[in-house]
Amino acid sequence: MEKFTLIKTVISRMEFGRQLVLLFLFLALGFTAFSQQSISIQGHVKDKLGSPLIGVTVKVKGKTKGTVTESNGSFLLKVNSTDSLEFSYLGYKSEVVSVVGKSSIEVVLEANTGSLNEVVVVAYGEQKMASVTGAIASINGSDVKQSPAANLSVSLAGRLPGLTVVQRSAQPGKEDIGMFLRGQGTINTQSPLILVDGVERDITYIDPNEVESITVLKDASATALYGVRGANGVILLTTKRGKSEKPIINFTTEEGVQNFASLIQPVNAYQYATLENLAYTNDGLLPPYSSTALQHYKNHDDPLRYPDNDWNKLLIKRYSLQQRYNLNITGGGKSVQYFVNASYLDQGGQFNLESNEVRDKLGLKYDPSFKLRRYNFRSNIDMQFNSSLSAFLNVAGYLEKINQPWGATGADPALYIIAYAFDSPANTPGPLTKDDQILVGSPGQWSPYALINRSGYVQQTNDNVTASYGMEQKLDFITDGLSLKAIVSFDASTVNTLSASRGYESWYQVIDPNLVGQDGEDSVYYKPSNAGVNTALSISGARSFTSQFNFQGFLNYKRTFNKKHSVSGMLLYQRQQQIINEELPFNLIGLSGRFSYGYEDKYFFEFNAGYNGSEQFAPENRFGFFPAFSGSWVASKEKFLADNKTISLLKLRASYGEVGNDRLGATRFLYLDDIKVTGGGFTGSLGGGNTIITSLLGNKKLQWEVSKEFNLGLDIGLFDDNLKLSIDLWKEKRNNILTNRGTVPDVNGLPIAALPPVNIGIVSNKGYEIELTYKKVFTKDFSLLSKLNLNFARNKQLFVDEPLLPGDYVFQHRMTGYRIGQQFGYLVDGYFSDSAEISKSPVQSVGGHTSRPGDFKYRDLNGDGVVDEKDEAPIGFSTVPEFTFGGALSASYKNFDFSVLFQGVANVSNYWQLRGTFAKVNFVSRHLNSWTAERAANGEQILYPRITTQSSPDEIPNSFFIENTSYVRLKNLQLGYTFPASLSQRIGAESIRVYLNGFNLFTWDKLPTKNFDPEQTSNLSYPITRIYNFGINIKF
Amino acid sequence: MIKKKLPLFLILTIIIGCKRSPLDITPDGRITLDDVFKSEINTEAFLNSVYSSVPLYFYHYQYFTFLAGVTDDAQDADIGNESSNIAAQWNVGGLTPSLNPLAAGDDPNVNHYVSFWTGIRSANIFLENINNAPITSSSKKSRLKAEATLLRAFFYWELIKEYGPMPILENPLDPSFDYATLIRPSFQDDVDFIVKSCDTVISNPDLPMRITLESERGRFTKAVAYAIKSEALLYNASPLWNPSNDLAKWQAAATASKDALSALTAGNEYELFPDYGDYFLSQSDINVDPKDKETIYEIKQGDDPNLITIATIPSRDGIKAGICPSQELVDAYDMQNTGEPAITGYSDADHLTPIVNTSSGYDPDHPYVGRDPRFYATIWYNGSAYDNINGVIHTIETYDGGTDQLLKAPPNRRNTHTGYYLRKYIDPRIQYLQASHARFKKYRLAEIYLNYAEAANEVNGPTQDVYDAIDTIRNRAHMPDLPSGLNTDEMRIRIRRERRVEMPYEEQRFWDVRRWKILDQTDKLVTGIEITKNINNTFNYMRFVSERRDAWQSKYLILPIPTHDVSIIPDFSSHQNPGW
Repeated sequence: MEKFTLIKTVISRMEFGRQLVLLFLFLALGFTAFSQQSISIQGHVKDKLGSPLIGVTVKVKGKTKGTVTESNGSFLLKVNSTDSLEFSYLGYKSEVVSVVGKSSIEVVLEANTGSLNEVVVVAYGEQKMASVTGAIASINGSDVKQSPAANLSVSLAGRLPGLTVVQRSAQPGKEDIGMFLRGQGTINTQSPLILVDGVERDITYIDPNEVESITVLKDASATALYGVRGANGVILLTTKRGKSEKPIINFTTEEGVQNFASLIQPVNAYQYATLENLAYTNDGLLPPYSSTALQHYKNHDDPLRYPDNDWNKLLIKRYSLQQRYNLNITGGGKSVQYFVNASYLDQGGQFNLESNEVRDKLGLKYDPSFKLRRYNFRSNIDMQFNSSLSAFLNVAGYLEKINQPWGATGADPALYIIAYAFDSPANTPGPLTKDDQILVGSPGQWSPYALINRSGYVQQTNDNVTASYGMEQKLDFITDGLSLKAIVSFDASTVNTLSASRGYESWYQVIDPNLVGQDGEDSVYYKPSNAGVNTALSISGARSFTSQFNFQGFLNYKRTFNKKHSVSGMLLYQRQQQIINEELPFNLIGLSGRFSYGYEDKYFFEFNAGYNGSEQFAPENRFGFFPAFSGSWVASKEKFLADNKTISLLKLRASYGEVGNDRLGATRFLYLDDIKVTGGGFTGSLGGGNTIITSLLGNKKLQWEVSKEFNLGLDIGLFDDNLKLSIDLWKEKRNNILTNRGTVPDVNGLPIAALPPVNIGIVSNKGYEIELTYKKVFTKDFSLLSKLNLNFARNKQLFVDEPLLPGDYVFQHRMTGYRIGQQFGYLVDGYFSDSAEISKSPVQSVGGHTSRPGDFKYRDLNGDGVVDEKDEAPIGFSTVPEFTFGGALSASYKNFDFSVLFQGVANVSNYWQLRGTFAKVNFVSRHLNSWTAERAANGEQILYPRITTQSSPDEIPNSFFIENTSYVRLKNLQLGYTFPASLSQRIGAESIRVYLNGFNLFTWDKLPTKNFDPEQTSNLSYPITRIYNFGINIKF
Repeated sequence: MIKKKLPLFLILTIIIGCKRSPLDITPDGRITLDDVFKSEINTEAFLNSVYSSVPLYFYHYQYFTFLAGVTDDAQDADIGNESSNIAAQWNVGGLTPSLNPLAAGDDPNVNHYVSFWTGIRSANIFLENINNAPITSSSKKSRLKAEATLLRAFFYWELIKEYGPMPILENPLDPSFDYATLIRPSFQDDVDFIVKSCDTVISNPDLPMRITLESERGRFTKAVAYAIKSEALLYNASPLWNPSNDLAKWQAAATASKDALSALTAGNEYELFPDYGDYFLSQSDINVDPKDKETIYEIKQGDDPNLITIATIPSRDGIKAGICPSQELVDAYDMQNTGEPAITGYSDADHLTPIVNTSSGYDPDHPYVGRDPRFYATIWYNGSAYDNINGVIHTIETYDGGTDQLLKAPPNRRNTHTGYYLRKYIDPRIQYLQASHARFKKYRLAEIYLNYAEAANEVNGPTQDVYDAIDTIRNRAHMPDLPSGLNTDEMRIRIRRERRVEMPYEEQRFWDVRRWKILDQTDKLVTGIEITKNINNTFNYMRFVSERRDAWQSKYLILPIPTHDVSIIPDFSSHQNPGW
């Protein structure tokens, strides 16, 4: 590390002010104007079959000026008389045609016989596919647009090999999404680094119409430039830029309906009462519901006294609406190109509001519904000042309004609504008294209806503005191929939360046998359930602010010598500062470099390195160096394959490198002691009433995690790359994982949380990705594209500082040797049929309960005659799947287009306990088939152990309740029709397309009930939604 | 060319010219441990941190309840209703080395194993640094040191009472300490260490005998040292820790308690509070000549409205009945006139057939008439007057159909499960959502009399001294003296009974039945009383088993050392407590 001292000194001494000076100097450097002569040129672009190609990029070579072809394949462009034009189109070979002596040009583009010329986004730059040596994958914005999901992240599920996306909630504006690139490599922050146009930003809110491409960088060679932040992989989102001279106006409107894909479905009142009686009888208690009561529940003949409320129906809409509008314009002038975009999203919530009459009557003049409204805009402008100086300005922002009921605490209202809806069995009267006040089943009970309608509301307003300005100066006067570039970004976001809560009356129903009503029955009256009164809204608020400054200075070099040796290099200095509320700033400084060498487009070698540091670490451990080496061999360019008709591509890739992870959790400055003097001491007579809080002892040696990653890739293309197979095998070992020490006994007396965390954890992670692509243009009317990907990632915790459990534990570790998040529990061997079997079996000392017939028979793994915690065994997997796969197919026939995406996961488990699973408070359909001696004797199907009013030895983590949450979904389906040009031109449009699409349309899973969606891990989260959507796109 | 390269030179000059790295940001408000002991005020503040490991006890167990629900003094109304309740978990045998149901609650120190070790570490850090700390007054320094020493002894005593012998650490351990070197000593070794610590502070002239300044409320005194020593030596002599019944241990216990009584009552510094019932309803007053001279140590925390809502009769607003006194506790109260036990035992295993002592004056048809006044101060029963619900005197009706009726079957936590409600600590004048002034009395003078009587009776038999000690307690409660002529065994039964009725719901019974090793007689079940009202307004009383329990086996005598530590410290594994 000594040799880096100088660099460290140099880069660590830069400051904001100097960076700005640098930028201006840089700007001044480049301004040298010159003039030119221009001519007009027009032409047509067609494919080999003679059909016009629409949207072909026509660019003046060496300049940023250009256009795209129109619907009949024609273009018109003003150029210099000496220029050449470059025609490029995805899936076709690029052509360069000189305009010298021409006024019109006819170009025939040949379908690409290889994908090697495609350009992909890589870390801080672009590369031709041919020269890529690392493991990367990318998709286009058009793929993302097939999904009507409001959140961009969920649209990525199943699309990108190596990327796992899980959605845990669907609350508008508050989706809980997890992203994992190549699984979980650490117990600390596992999410990949996400950059939008090169800067750390959130992608959740990006409008899909803005997306040009999304690339995932998976191996060390692809992420080494990010150094200490690269170990979890990187997701790069690139937004669209202007291409053509002629403005293209795109207008899209979408209208959709959504509903819950799954929902806890409690039983009806009669079933509830029957099951409640069964639970009491099972416990040897008198059943609480008489046969008369049962009869009433069954016959629905006395709804006042014997109600049968379907709370789901009362509280949840059959469907809610989602709307989206988008307008974007792309175009350009002589020296300026632009892409401007504006969009609006309105997503409704799934919970019912009470009628306006009732709300008006009660004076509830506010909107407590769940909903999201998002306004986005973006303006990406490119400027070319002269042949050597260019600049760009990206400005984008969004305004979000997220609305929700106040609920029980102001936070997460869906959780309480779903919980208390479940806790209101169907025989709970309500939701309202005759006077429209809240009615609950028993004193103190919560009303889910009130949580939605009467509790107040929370409105969260999120503002975000991101702006990047950059300039690039070619330094050909120093040496050919050298250029300098600088980008400055300022991002700011605010979250303002307005919470308006109110108190409300709540009543419960009393049936008084002493007061006889007019109908001769018992009188029914109401008593206050709590001390609550209807109050006006009480307003409070919270706000947070984040700003980010980012500076990137590049020195780029790219040149080919003797047409054989292509050399490129890049040096990047980066500085970032984030300010979050009143916290001390978060700083990051880094220097990154890339050097690549290619020989005859056959052999490629690349060296990437990052050298960066953050204030997270002690000064002597602040900077880390992360190198990666990679190479590739394009065997198909060798003589022995060059003329092969079948094999069009054969490429081998290999990489090895080290990358880091400095995102070690929320606690900062772990290298310092955190001892504070605070008030609130035990007695005022000591220390002025202060006390000393030892929150943390520092670890001076604290460092980042280091991941050593190895990747081997194989790309095979057959039949002109119509069929392409990519395989990546990878292996990662993450060392230095920061963990809390588990082998310090409580005897030490220092709270576990105050023990200094140390870099001792080790996790190994390995897997593979297979991507199979088939695409073919059969005729000018019919083309097909199909992509299949299969990914596997399995981790193993090699070292966790956990105590070794005593020798009579069958599994002496709970983490070491297992995957991150491995579940443990008891193994179930069916049900005990009678007491004789119980007395013959090992004592079931689980939670101190005595077994009874109908209880699970747990396996005594250590054979000591007692089933207890010593017999717990690993069961299933973690909640993050090991296998993910996606299958996409798109086809177009004449004016119709069709696309479909199947997505699935396997090797994944979840333990949904309590509501919706256990037979407590309320019941679901599986409890109707619970164990009883009768059912067992009759050989009836049994779906649940004996139900009971007491806590049960069955309702704990075990192999029955830890469920396999593998699934396959029809994630997207889209059908589109483009009207014939003759029709669209009548209204002056270039094209009109209408389409239908859907999201989460159908799911195949292995769950025993339909109460939960396999993707959600909590039983009380806002359930995953299904969307049906209709859209019109008009292009002018 | 040179002109164009100028900016590059400029840039380099600027970069190298800067002095400070932006990564050197100064974190705010943090100090090091060394800094703490460089300042007098922070050194004192650190003693506050040591005090902060003292648990709250009382009703701060999960779920806002008393420890009594896991003893034969009560059934918790949360049984069958709130599965997280300590009694719901403990009484079914839920205790395992990796799960201690008692270690949950709203008290931040409710996990006693952890908080006592935390306290021991803090005290050790304090004691390691106090000598060099800049405390201006030497007598102040000496007092601070005595408090820390006594706090450490307190934590050790409470720790070994629950978990058995534990290694004696007199210095804070580095996290990377070799824990394999820790060895469990004998119980006697620990008690010796605790007694030695108490003796040190007792002989320290700078530690006061009682706190006389309100601002110093809650700080340890010499009296606390006497109480800890008295209790520790009594336990050390009891059957659980004295299987060979070594009389020397009883002698040591008797002597310590005798010394404590002489020292405490000298000049009436400490004396019993005149009114047993009122004593538990308020916070002790602190001044030079307080009304309350009985309290030796009171948990400072209090004045919250929860107590009134978690132990209430259904006729009042609240959350639950909470602790429902058991019929067994009711049966333990003597008759006031004769001073004789009303019920001496049960002729059946289910406690449904009481052995009535007919000579006591007890009338099974009027079971609540003429009992020990402490019964009326502790328990609401059918027919008792609950003064002042919204200004109206309310009569408790626990009979079938009454306003506060017994409801046996769950779900219900508002009604009694035994036929009784808790009166001790509950001041009926305090209304719903008002703060209760009741405090948990951790140590009070009465306990030392009882400790003395018990130890002295074992070593010397029922001497006059023993009678005097017990009668002092009884007379305060307006109970007659014990009859003369009892033998040692009879006296032991009387003393144990006295202890039970004098200190219910004070976290004594749970440990007493363990140190006496009578768990198998007391903890298999509790009973309640089902009362029906006859037409002529008389009542029928029917006993019933309200809860059967499965945590009475001998392994429940000493709590298991938590798995976490057993897995790390080899000696804890090879010497885990019996049965675990």
